Amino acid sequence: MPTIVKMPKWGLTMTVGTVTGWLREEGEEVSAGDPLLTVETEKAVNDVEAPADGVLVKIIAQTGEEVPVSAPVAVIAAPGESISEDDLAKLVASAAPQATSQAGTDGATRTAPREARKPARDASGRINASPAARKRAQELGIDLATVEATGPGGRITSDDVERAAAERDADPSPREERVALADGREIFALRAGPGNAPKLVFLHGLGGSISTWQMVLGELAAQYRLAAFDLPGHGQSDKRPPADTDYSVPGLAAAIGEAIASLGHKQAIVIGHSLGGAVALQLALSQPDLVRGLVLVNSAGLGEEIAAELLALMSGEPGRDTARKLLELFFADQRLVVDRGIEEMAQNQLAEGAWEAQRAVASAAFADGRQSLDVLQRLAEVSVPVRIVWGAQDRVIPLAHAISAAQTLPDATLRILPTIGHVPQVEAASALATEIDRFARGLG
Amino acid sequence: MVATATATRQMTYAEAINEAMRIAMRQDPTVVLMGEDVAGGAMVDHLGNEDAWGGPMGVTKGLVQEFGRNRILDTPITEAGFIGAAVGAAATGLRPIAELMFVDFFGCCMDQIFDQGAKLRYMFGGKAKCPVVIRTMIGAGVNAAGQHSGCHYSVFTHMPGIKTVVPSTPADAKGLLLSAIRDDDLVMFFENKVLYAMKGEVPEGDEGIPLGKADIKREGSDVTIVAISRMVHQSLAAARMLEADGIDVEVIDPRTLSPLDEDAILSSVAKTHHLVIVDEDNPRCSCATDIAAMVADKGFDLLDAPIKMVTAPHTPVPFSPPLEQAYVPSPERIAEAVRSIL
Amino acid sequence: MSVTESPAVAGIDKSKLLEMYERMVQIRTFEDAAGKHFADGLVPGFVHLYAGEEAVAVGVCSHLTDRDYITSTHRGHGHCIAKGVDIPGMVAELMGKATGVCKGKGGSMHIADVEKGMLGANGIVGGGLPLACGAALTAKTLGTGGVAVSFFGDGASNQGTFHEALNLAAIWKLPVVFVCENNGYAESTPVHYHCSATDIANRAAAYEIPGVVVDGLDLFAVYEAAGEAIARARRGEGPTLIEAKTYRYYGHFQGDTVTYRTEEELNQYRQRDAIQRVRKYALEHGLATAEELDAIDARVKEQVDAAWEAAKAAPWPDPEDVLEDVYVSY
Repeated sequence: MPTIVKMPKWGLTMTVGTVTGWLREEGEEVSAGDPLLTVETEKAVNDVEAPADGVLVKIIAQTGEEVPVSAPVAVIAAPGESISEDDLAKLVASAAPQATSQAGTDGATRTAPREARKPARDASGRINASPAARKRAQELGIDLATVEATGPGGRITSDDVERAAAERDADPSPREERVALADGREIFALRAGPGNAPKLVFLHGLGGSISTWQMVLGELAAQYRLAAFDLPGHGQSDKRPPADTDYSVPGLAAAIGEAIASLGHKQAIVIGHSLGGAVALQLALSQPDLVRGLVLVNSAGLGEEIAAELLALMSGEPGRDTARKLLELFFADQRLVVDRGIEEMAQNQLAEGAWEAQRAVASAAFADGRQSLDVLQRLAEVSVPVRIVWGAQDRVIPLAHAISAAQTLPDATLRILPTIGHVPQVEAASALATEIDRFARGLG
Repeated sequence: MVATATATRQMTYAEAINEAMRIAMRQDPTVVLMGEDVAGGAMVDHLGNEDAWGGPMGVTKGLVQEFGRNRILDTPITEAGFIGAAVGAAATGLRPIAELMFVDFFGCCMDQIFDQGAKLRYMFGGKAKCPVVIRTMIGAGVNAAGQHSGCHYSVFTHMPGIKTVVPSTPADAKGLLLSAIRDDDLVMFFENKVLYAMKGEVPEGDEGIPLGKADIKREGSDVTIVAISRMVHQSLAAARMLEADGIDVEVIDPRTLSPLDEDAILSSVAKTHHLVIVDEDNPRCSCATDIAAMVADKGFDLLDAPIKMVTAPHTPVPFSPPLEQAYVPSPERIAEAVRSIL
Repeated sequence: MSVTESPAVAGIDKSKLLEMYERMVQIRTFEDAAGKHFADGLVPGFVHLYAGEEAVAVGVCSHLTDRDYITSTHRGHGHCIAKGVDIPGMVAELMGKATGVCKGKGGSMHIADVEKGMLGANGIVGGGLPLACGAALTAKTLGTGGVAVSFFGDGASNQGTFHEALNLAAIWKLPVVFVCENNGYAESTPVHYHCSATDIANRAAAYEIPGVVVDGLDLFAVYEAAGEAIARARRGEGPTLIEAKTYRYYGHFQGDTVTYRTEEELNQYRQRDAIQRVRKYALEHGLATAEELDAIDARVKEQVDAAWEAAKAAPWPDPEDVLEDVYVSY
């Protein structure tokens, strides 16, 4: 039985991948797990591994080709198996990706009291929506133009907005959003997963962005309602000058808390990596109604030490050199330090206002070369269940923090990933996803 | 205090008002009642201590027998004179109840009410109070024509220094009147003549209902109706009609218009997002427009539809039965207003 | 002076006497019918009947023409009839029909006909006196030669408007006559309780205008006193206050239990019935035969009955009409 090698889906927003090189040739024997080819996406460059033992009988997608997710890129014949050209052609044809129909909303949608129709507009194009509908639409981030009106004269009512929000929230397809905070800042969010599923929130670390979670999100999107945020000053979130912005961990937590509440994404398990872990702890302490549990991944906030090298790099100049050195520091497996990753991090640092903001985050959190975080003193107050997941080869934050925190936190368990460095979500995405899934199931 | 369910009895709105005055007069010797024919037959030999009328509708019947003609004072038809005297007595140690037979007669005594009674405390720098209650009859519905059928509580609600009370049930009438009599300010107490014969459960005892506290007469989730006085019952009838269409109406009775329980109205609108105000008074510069303006101001973002007002037209009250029927807001008109915004 | 024994009153010939008799009978017949039809449920709202007081309205209004104005009270039917308001139109108004003199808008308490110089029955006690001053001011200013008469009750004489109107009329020398119909009771309250004066006419002294007391049950006495006062007014010599002591046969309103007065008292007044006194006078002085007077009685009864039948058959106002007549234009 031949095995089709397909273009993997690494991230929620990944729709295509470009084959950047084949590491094996047609006719070669391969073992499951062997890197077969490299693929570049909008957000990452990675190896695609052989899914089975056998012979690479056919390379379908050549180097430089852009291939849709799940489309065949190669065929591996089982050991000793021979396949005719015809069969191979049929196999390739049958493996072509089907247009996936978007899951519709379920029957839970409330029956409208009147026939729903496009909202009425006046001569100037202003949509006819009630004051309550306008307010609710702003709160829920709903574009009134997309809402079907049931009110008299084609007026959108607050019920119509609620219904549109419920439909949106029930839509499992991934979606990027900008959440407006009361102070005018916008927080960039990526959401996906079925609306009625348990909620997960992902918070990246210093200098990172949502893209760090791409592979983990892909594994969890079918069963969980996901929301990943770019912290203020990072990724595509607003990067206001530090002079008039609170970039401390409590400040970041307040902004993220507001964004979570605004999306109605309360009672979530918050997964925080590195500095994002400290933000998650702060949230659990200051806004416990938002947080159902914590998964702390090589997290800050659990001890005082922090790598001097990190702080030195953060006080340097932004750009490719700093980015490369940071990634070298983060990853245990240096093969993961690829050009695409360096470029992405560099671009993030070089974005207008980003470096100043990220340095402000670093200096607020790590004054005097140590972690100087309030949460450190308050670990015993964390009332929600915590799963600590730690790449043991971390050179940024020592494993000792995980071990002592597992004892200090009232309700914590610890999973150590022996060969992994500071960034398990990239280095061991499946393992981390499995840990998150188990933890979430354990909470019921 | 032991919390026990208060015993109640059936009585009419008129009887409940009578009982409130009786209780207040027994408890407080400074409470006196004055008005045209509140007893009737003053100085008619064969009547002795009996009353001839006990008020034109019999609301004050029997009080003179218990309290005597020194405390139940028949007056000449001199509204400016006796209303003014009540105000003066209130400022100097009595707690008078003055009966202005029909509210339409306020024109005969408005100076004493609003230039004297209502302003006195303020003008004197807080050094006086005016604990007077002016009971007065309101409402169309008995073909009493243009000078005996108005509501006009809006006029008084407009004026600072006056509290305005508009009971819709026998129990509310008793409790609110007790509070009005005990209140240290000038209170206008509007009795709807159409409700006098209405029966309801009325608590025993002397407990007052606080002024400024609305009552939810019917809970519902789709639309809020704020209804004043008799309009509470018209609105409840409309609510029953709308129930058949699956429309769930909440009826709020503000019970007092000044002070107005804004929180109760706003909380209800926060729940239903729809507001209809039903007011038998004329529509311009009225309590209906006042409540609508308050909600538009403080609850704009709560609304899913325009605020609708169902009111009398901008006319005096007509005499002829079909005209008067067209004048008073009907359950059908109220239901139509509700349907128009849902 | 006993009128029944007096010689013919100046200015009253046979035709004038019969005309006044007919007016009084019209009022009595109208009121008795109104009382009956109120009890039958044909008349909504409040009704205050004038029966017993006919001599006052007729004795005064017999001096007036359409250029003269009167203001009236809640007990206004008699004044209307005496001033010539259309009886079928009044009956229709009592019922609230579209054919009423006020299109059904006003009813019993607000019957008016400005064309006839009738400025309205009035639901406000004391409401009419200042209006009469205004009508007199118009007559004086425009030089119409007209006068204004304000009818009001003993109760109204305690209202501020009474005193303010008398003073105003006096200082402006307005052609107005104030006619107080003292029927002994303000609603249920007797005049000796509610009024500080023995005679309400005494109050004229405070304003230095003539004050006259007359027997309100004596048509000729009223006629004579009113004639003098009206002539004085027409001469530009200012107002007069006439107090006509009279009595109402019915209660304050229909439905009044009238516990404040006795049957004896009512019967005493009925012995002095104003209409019977006119009838007796006419017969005794050979001014009319019993047949002539009976014929008048019968004709009036037919007229009033026909008015009720017509009103019963008349259409109701259109509910849309509720919005009409608030403003001339808006």
